[in-house]
Parts: sequence; structure tokens; C-alpha cells
Amino acid sequence: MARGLNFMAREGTAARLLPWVIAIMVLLSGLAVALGAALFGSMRAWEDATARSITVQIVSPDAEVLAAEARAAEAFLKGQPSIIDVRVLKPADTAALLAPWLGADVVDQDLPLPRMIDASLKPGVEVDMANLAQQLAVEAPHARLDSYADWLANLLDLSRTIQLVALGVILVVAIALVAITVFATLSRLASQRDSIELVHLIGARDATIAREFQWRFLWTGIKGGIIGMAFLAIVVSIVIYYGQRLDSAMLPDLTIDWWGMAALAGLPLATGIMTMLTARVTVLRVLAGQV
Amino acid sequence: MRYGIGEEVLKDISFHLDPGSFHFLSGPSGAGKSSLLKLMYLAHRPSRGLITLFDEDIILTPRKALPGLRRRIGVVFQDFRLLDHLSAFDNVALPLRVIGEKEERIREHVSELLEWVGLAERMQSRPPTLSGGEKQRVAIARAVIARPELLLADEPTGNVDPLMGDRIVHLLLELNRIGTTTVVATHDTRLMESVPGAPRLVLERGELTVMRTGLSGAAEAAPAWMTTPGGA
Repeated sequence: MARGLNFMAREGTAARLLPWVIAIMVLLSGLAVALGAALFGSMRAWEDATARSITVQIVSPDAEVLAAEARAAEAFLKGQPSIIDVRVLKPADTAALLAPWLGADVVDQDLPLPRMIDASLKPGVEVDMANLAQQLAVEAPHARLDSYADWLANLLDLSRTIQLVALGVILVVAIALVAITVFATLSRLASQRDSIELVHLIGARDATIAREFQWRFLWTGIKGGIIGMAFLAIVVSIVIYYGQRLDSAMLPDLTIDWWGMAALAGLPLATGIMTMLTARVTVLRVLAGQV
Repeated sequence: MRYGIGEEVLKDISFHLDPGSFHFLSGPSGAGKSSLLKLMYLAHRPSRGLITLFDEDIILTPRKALPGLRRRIGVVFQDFRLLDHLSAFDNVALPLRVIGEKEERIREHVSELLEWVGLAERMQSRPPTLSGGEKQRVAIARAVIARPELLLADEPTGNVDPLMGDRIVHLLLELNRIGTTTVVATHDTRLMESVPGAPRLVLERGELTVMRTGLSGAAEAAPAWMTTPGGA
């Protein structure tokens, strides 16, 4: 079986640092991928949970009015064909919701609490929210209809912006990776000038020489990628550890789905392939300018 | 030929090497011997003029066709140009690996040749541990391992004792006898005298004259029975 020419001597100290530089780049892009993937998963979860939800609040200092309008609103909502799962929250449930924000002591006192009604819209049915609110106001004048659509749209905009920023970081890191690989390849070409000239004179084709470079850079890229992923695992573990120490109700639940996991797992190989192709193209372009 | 914008180091040179011939190239230091050899082993292209090698006009030959021509040329460099990180065996094997020869055949041929040049015990040694003469023999073995049609040797006996020098000359003549066109650049008068009749290409101040010595010329140096095609 034929083997490579192995015409290049071992790398010097400077070249041995390359995997570590690549590792830092992989760490940065890995963080961006993780953030983007986590936001994507969370966005979907938020959409599923809130896109079809509406809440009716009845606010009045008069307890009797509150009770009467709560019943009227509940009856109205249950009568709507586009609405399912109507649930009137008991005052104790409302108090429990507010307790983390205001403190249990404050809520237990004579704090006037609104009556809350949760409901879900039937999937696949378009609802004119303004019209629904008008009709509800007739039945329960102190009722306020909240849909999460606007809030969710703003949240999704923010989330998409963060994802775009993450994508931008990945692109910038990729460009930097290509640039540093070109630089490293040129440096290696210069340090191996005599060997390359020799194998050229023996009759080696440019592609044969480029192959020798590309396999070395593939391995360098994969090595850097694996080190970078190890760094990433440490950083993510630290973030998760401190995140779990906080009250989870205060934070969105960030999870990475299988696609995100696959993207992260593929980073070392993608890095290797990128450095390999960059080295190959660089070598071929440089050699094409020689005799 | 000139380097950059410097003076022409070779000018108005015209010669022809018959296929299978054996020539010496001599002349004082700085006369342009190495430059002429560089043109012949395609390390440089001429700044003007015409070089025809294996029936190809080198100036018009596309770059991607040059490796094919270079594989037909064996070169013994004056400074050996061995790769220090490779063993003597792997250095000699390089030309065969370039053409994709099978490893079994490489093992067989390289071992045989290294044994022939007296380096059987030093096959796995790396160049930094070899003496000047041993390096030279490795360089020669590398130049001839792929049975080139044209062999260019720059001072091939410069670092060896007279006995090994004779062996090397014998090897070069053997190759020449089986059809390899050979040009040996040397200052060594004894070496040139050891091959009576071999024409001498004498370079002086960038100009070349052909001296035919002894009883015979190129036609006699190249055996008549030689049938191997190709030549320069």
C-alpha cells in the first residue's frame, strides 16, 4: 500500500500552539452555537405555551363586583366556540403567583387582588382579539383581556436578534479561523521551502504536496476542536451550576435540543474540515505561482 | 539565463546531448555549472532561448506537465538535499513514493540499492548521523532509484574517498550503459580521466565549449547497443 511522502519535518513550537488558538475559537463559536440553540428551543417552548393563551383580569376594589363579573366573564368565555379550557383562578392561587414578587406577608394582608381567568384559544382558529375584548366588556365592564401575542412577538424579536448576533459571532470566528489557518500554512510553506522544492524536483505534483498539508491541518483542526469542546463543557457546566442556584422562576428555561447537540458535537469535525480545505487551497495557490 | 535583474550567468550556450550519452560538465567555480544544471533539471526556466528536453520545448511546456518530465530526471545535488527527519531508506524511497510505487517493491529496490552503495547497515540512520560520504551515497541512490532517463550529478564524488569515488563512477557508467543519459558536473580531473572518451562541456564566464577527449566522442561513450528510448 502506498503511503504519504512525509517530507515535512515536525512542527516547531509556534506551530504546536495552533491547536490551542483553534481551541479558543471553537470555544467562542461553541458558546454562540449553544446560546443560539438554547434560545431556539426556548422560543419554541414559549410559543407552544403562550401563543394560544389568554388571560382575563377583573380589577375592582368591590369584592361583590369581582365575584359577579368573574362569573359573567367565565360564562362568556365558555360560550365562545374559539375558546377552550376556561379556568377561574381562586384568590389563593393568585396570591401564590404574586408571593415570589411581593412577598407572602404583603399578599396575605388586605392587598386587593384581581380575579384571574385563564383560557386557551382553539388551535388553528383565528380570533379577533379586539372584538372579543369589546364583547367581554359588555358582560364584565371591569374585565381586561390580555393576550400574550404582542409580548411574545417582542420576545421572539429579541430572541431572534440574539440568535443573529450568535450567528454573526460564528461567522466572525470562522473568518478568523480561515485567516489564521492561511497564516499558519504560509508560515509552514516558508519553513518547509527546501523540502517542498526537493519533492517538486523529484516530480511530486502540487496536489501531492497539498495533500500532505491538508491531512496535517485536518488533524490540527480536529485536535483544536476537541480541546475547544472540552473548554466549552467546563464553561457550560459552570454556568449551569450557578444557574441552578438561582430561583428558576426568574429565568427562562434554556434547553438545547438534539439538533443543537448535533451542531455542537460536529464542531470539531467542521473545524478540522475548514482548516483542511483552507490549507489545501492556500498551498495550491502558492505553488501555482512557482516554477 | 539571469537571476532577477542581474547579469546573465549563461549566454549563447548551445549543445545537444545524444540519448544515452555520458558527458562531464566542468569549469571554474562561478562559471555557471550549477545554473546550467538547474535549467536542465527544471528548477528554473530560461529567461531567453530554447531548451528542448525529451522532445518538449521547456518554455512552452505547461507547468502541470513539468512533474512528468522531472520524474524522468535524476539529480545528485552538490549539497545532497537529504531530508534530515527521514531515514536513509525513506530518503532514497522518495522518488518511488512520488510515482506511487508499491511499498513491497520500494522495500526490495531501495534495500538492494543501499546495499550496493555500501549502506546496508545504515538504512535506518538519519542524515545528521551520516558522514559526508554516506550522505553523498544516499543522495546518489535517491537520484538513480527510479531509473531516470537523464541523470544530472553535481560533484557526485566530492565527499567520498577514491575507492568509493570509483564505485560511484562505476554505478554512473552502469546506468549510462543501460541507457541513462548522464551529465556529471565536476572539478575532479581524476574522475574525468577515469571515463576516457567522455566529452567535456566546459563552462567559462557563462560560455560553453564542447571538448572531445581521447579516442572517442559521445557516440562511443554511449554504447551502440543501448536501446532504451528517451534522452535529452
